[in-house]
Amino acid sequence: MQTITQSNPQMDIQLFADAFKKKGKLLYRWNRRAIHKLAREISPAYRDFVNRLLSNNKLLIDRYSGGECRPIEYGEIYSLKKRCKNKIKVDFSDPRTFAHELGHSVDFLFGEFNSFSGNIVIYDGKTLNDIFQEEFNNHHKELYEFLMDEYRLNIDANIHKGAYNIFINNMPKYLTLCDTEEPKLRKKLQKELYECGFVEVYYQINTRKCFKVLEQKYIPIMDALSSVYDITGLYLVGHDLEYYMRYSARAAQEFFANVFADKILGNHTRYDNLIKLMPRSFDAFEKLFFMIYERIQNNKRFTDLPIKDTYLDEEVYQDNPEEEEEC
Amino acid sequence: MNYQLFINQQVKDYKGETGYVVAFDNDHIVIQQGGEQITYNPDIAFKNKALVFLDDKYNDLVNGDMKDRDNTSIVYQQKIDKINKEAIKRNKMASDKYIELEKKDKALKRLFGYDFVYPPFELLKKKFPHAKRKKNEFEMIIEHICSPTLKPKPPKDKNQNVQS
Repeated sequence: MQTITQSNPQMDIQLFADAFKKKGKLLYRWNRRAIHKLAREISPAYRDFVNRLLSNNKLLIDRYSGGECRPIEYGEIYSLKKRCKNKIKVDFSDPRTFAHELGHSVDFLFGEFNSFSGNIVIYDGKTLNDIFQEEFNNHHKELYEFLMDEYRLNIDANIHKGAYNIFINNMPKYLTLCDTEEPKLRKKLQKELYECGFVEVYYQINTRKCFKVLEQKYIPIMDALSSVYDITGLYLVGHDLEYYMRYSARAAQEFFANVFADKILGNHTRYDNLIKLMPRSFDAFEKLFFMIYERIQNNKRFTDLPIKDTYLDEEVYQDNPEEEEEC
Repeated sequence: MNYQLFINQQVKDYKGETGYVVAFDNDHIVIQQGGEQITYNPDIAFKNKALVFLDDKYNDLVNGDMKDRDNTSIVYQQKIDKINKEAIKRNKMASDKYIELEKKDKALKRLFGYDFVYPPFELLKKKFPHAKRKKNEFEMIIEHICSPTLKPKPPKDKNQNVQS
C-alpha cells in the first residue's frame, strides 16, 4: 500500500520558492508573486513530491507565454540509469500548464526515448501507451459522441435550440474562410455564414464560453480525442492532428501529462469522469504514477523497473526528434 | 378674444383713479386718464390687479382668457419637454446601441477577418450618423496633436523681413 507523505504547507511553499531561486535569481525575482501563487495551487499532498522534482538540477525552467517541455538530452536507449536534461518553458500564472509541462518532464526523466508512458511495463507486458491505445481505439467513437452530446446540450441551452447544428454544419465553411485570401470568395463565404446564423452562434459561443464546462470536466479525454478527430475551431482543448501524426505514442504522453496535472492540482471532477470513461488507462496511470512517486520520495533508483524492449523497433520518429511538446 | 368689446370701458387703476380703454391688443392696453394716455402690459396689469374693470363682466372675460392662455402654454411646454426627452432618450439609446454593436463588430472582425462587414452595425451608422460613443482620452490627445492649430508654421521669407 502506497502512502502519501504530508508536511507543513507553509514550509512546502517556501521550499517550492527556494527551488525556483536555484533555477535563477532573476527568474524568481521577476515572478515571485506568481510562483508563490502557483505553490499554493498545488495539492498539499504532492507539494513535497513537486519540490523534489523541481530541486533536481536536470530540470531547467524558464518563463514563456505558452508552455512547452523540450528534452535537451536523449540518453541511452533502454537505460534508466542516468537522468536527462529537460527544459520547461511555461507561463507561471497558469498552474495547469505548469503542472502539464512538469508531467512531460517526469515522463521524459530518462530521455524521450525512455519515456515512462511508452517503455515501462505495468502489467501483462503492456505499457501505459499499449493500454491507452487499446482502450481508446475501441471506444473513441462513443467518447466523441458522449462529449459532443454534452456540448450540444450546453450550446442549445445557452444560445437557442438548433444552435449546435448551425455551428457544426457550417464549420467547414468557416475553416475555408480562415484559409482563403481571395477577396471575392471571402465576401461570399462571410455573407453565407451571416445569413445562416453561424456568425451570431459563433460569437455567442465565444462570449458566453460554452466550452468552459467541458474543459473543466474532460481535458484529458478531449486532448486524446484531438489525436483522432479534427476539433480545430470548436473551441475544445487539444493539439492539432499534425502533432499526433508524427509519432503515435504522443497521445499516451499527452494523456500522462494531463492526468499528472490533474493529480498534482487535485482536480477531482476530472478524476471521476476519467474513472467512468477510461477506467483501464486511469488504473494504469495510477500504477505508473506511484511507481515514480515511491522512487522519487525514497531516493531510490529506477533501474529495477521493467522495460519493454520491442517498443522502439516499431515506432521511429519520422521528423526531427527535437520536436516541441506544446501545451 | 374679441378686444373691440373692451374699448371705451371704464377702468380703475391701482391708485383708484378711473379712465377708459382706448386701445387693447395681445401685448398692450392703452388707457386714457385725464389728459394723458398710459400703456400697460395686460397680462401683468390684470394679474396684479393694477387695472380692474368697473364692470365685473369684463373682469371675468379677461381672467378667463388669461387662464386659457396659461393652460395652453403649459400644455405646449409639456409637449415640448416630452419631445425633447424622447429625443434625448432616443439619442442615448442609439449611442448605447452603437457602443454595443461597435464592440461586437470588433470581436467579429477578429473572428471572421478584418474585411468582415457586420450588417446591423452598418445600418445603425447610416440611420444615426451622429450617434457615436464618447472619445477616450487617448483619441482626444491624438486629435489635439494632429489639429491644424498645432502644426508647425511655414518659415517666414527672410527677404520680406529685410524689405520691411
